[in-house]
Amino acid sequence: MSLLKAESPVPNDLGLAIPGDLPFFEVIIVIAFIVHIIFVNILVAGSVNSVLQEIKGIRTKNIIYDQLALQFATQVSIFKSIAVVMGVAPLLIISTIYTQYFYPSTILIGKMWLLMIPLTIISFLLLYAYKFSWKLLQNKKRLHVSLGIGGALILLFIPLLFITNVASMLQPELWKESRGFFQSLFLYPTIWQRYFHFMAASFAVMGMYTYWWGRRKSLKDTDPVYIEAKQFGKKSAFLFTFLQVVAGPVLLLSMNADVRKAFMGGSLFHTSLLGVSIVLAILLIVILYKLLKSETKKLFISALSILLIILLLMSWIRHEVREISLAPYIDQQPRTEQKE
Amino acid sequence: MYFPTIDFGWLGNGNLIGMMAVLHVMINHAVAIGGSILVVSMEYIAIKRGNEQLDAFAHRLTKYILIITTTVGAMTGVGIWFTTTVIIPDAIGSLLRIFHWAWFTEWLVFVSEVILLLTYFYTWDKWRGAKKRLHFKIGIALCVMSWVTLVIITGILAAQINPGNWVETLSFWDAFLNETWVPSTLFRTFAAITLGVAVLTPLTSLVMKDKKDRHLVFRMFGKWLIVSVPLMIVFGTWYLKSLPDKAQTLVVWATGMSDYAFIIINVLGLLVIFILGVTLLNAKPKFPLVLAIFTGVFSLALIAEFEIVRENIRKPYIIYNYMYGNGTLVEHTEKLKKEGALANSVFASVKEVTEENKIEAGEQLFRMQCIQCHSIDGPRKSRVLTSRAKDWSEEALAGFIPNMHEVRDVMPPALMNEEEIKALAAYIHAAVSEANGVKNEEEQ
Repeated sequence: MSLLKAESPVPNDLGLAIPGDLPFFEVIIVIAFIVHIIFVNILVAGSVNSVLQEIKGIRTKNIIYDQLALQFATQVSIFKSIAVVMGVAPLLIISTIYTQYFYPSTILIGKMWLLMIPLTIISFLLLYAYKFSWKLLQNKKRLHVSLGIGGALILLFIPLLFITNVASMLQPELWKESRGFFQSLFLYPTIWQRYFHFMAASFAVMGMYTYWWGRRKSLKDTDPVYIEAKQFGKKSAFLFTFLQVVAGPVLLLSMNADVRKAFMGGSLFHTSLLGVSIVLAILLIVILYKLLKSETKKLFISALSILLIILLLMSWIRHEVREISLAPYIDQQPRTEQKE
Repeated sequence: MYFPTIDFGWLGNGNLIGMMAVLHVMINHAVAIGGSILVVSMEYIAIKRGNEQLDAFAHRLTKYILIITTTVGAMTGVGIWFTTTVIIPDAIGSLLRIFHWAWFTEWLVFVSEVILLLTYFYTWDKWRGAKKRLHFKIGIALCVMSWVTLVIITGILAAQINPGNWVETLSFWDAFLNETWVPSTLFRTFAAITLGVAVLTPLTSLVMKDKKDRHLVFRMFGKWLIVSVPLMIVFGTWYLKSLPDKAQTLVVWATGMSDYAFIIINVLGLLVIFILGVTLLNAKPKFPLVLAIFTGVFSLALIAEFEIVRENIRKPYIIYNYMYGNGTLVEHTEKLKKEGALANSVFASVKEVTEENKIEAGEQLFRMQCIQCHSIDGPRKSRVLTSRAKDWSEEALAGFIPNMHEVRDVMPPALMNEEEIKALAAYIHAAVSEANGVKNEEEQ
């Protein structure tokens, strides 16, 4: 037995069967992941935006930016708990149905992976301190901003751990060369492209969220903070969605040949999936551009609906990329599935 | 065994899981469950008596519960999962396969717990007057959901030590509905309330300035405590009786104490907590702050002791009668002894032992089957080889390893072939000599 299996870099699956139908798990993972990532987007971009707005407030001596920053900080502190708890389901499923790939890729960066726990704790505590000390440190802005910067910088780093892990699990052929986290950052060819794509998405989603929030609030209240939220929100939504037109193709081109081929004409299904997403993305950019000029409810609802559809398609494409990349390995080392 | 391995060196792989787990259980039991129950009880008293000041105090405490549980509490929970994945993937992977749907349900409960906690805290000042009752109900729901997370996870933890018929049937319900589950859940429930009181009492006496309010709160604490301590003892005893026979005999050993010390310390400690409960019931309790702090620290130590015992008494297994503590499967015993462990691991860079690669092969075997509990050097002397294998010759080690599971109840058998055993002995001997040699030089 050892001879044949030794050729594959992937270990045998566990002896106990996966407790359910694979397609069922796949549907849940695609949906649960998108819910998780929306909250993560808001968490990461929100904490960065909060700090940037506060600094803008200090520089321009305009209280509106400071108040907007406080609103961001408050919402971040709520969303972060939801982001964490929503991450449990996709992580649970990926551990259960991709054990042979996800466990090795996790262990190969194991020490940094575990460092994520204290790092996240520190970041969240800093962000709580940032939010709850807003009034207290009103006259010590330098100290106050540093709390926010500390929390936000950690949050900008943590996605790299997740991205390295999922990029590595798709390329078992590179595991032998893997020497820990920092070397992996440059070993796997898709990591920085994924990071770029994820970050642009985060600021686009946060922009859309901010616009929605400002719009809802300004219906009842004419506080200039809400007007600023709307302006800021739609501008970032437009700018960062536009950036995705670059980030998306850059990521696709960094993928392995099988994936590229499938999405660029090789498979009708995969090509259409991507094609529809691109068309929708361009449509979204046009609508967001119109929204910059004139605000109507109709434009907003269309933009939001299209964004949500694109997010769902992206999560689905992400799953298809995983399936295409792992297909040859799964053929060789099948999973332990339930007997009928 | 079948995945890549990782070495946390002096810190010890097993210790890392242990520290994460103990920290998580302390926060979960004392703050998330105990703390929520007590804060909601406080709100109840405040509503009943129309006491705004007490209500505000409960609100303030909730803020800290929110901060602690959503940072250290939540992340150490994820941390247990991460550390076990990295250190003993075969075990956590198998547990996820057996209990996937229990964990999935647990996730749904987590989601509701977080949402309830956020709602409970952020609506405190908004939901006043007629809406106050609703706010209180959210608090009750929060307590119930925090407790349900404990109920579900305890089913899984109890099954590790007592999976009942599962080994034959492989049925989820056979594993989950094991006879250790109910006593274990009830024990933890009352331990959580006890812990909550023990931790919040010194805090309240330090922070709460108003004497009248303090008496109200202490009376409530006292009531919870005199009910919880006896029940904790009752269910703790039932828990011990529900364990497999072999595990029962290991309990005292697992604490690292003598029989005598074990009984004295635990009985006296519980007695002191009970006395604190009786004292608190007095409308004007006069007890030294030292007593309150002592019970706080002691009760945290008690729950840590419980976790350590639970982890130790299931040995040599991690899933009773199915998987050994190092992640090797009982059913692979013959295969690995015959074919060798290295040849069966994709990630071992050495597949066959030779005279040249002996030490390297030994190290890989050590990481595959020993490192889950042992390290070459480290803080926990009963597990580190610089003290356990000190002054042992290579031959003596090679002679001991194949038979250790017969001499030591808690050791799993070494599932490797004869050449591999010799390589493992050579590695341990070399690593221990080197580590002890460095130590001796430092001493001189």
